[in-house]
Amino acid sequence: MPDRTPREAVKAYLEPLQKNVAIVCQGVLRLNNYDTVDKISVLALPDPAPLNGRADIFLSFVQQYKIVNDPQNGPYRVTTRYYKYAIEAKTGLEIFGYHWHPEGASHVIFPHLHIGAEAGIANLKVASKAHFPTGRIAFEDVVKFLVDEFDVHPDRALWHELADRTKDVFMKHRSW
Amino acid sequence: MSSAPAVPREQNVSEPLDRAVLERATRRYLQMSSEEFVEKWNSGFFKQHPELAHKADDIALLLPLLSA
Repeated sequence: MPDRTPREAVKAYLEPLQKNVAIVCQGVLRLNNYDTVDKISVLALPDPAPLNGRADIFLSFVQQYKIVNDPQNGPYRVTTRYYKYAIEAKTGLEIFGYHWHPEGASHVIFPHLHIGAEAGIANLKVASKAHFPTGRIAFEDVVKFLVDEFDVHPDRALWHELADRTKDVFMKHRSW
Repeated sequence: MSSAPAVPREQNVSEPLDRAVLERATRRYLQMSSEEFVEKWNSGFFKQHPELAHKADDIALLLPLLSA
């Protein structure tokens, strides 16, 4: 999302994500860079956060981002590099997770879904290792999924409209 | 539905992330210290251990906190 200063660009990136996090849990996103351009930076929940109405499952959220120059629209915007949106059990093991880490130790560089060991389908041995290909996942879609399918209690009136609105902005400004 | 916090959560975002978050993540997910994780990450250990590679990649998302 383009903005006038690096800090404004970061705030414009952070605010809709925090609003969506606040729909499903009490967690507060933290980040480590508001000002430095081209620095690989981190936005995350410091610890997995219990979900509203489902104290038995936890949201883990990490993104890497960079503030970049965008001379045509900005002059600054924030671009997401990697993401991990996972739902974990109290054990710390995943139930499921949406991941995208295009560089790293794993050979899997496309966005993917993991069905984790805590999903309760351990007899399907491939599941916990498999990388189910996905397109890029908007966090708003994870929020809707949690409310619709996991009985998480939304902590806002009109939460659906909020998620739709912030996703529209994300879809308009995403680079891929 | 839970009650609203005194300070709207989306405004309470100024506290920065720090390396303690990395330390907690390495201990939670790989049962090792952040120092051990960094050493193994830099040595390529996780590329030789595909069963750990994915968790390592997830934790590595936090490595920029070391240069903050």
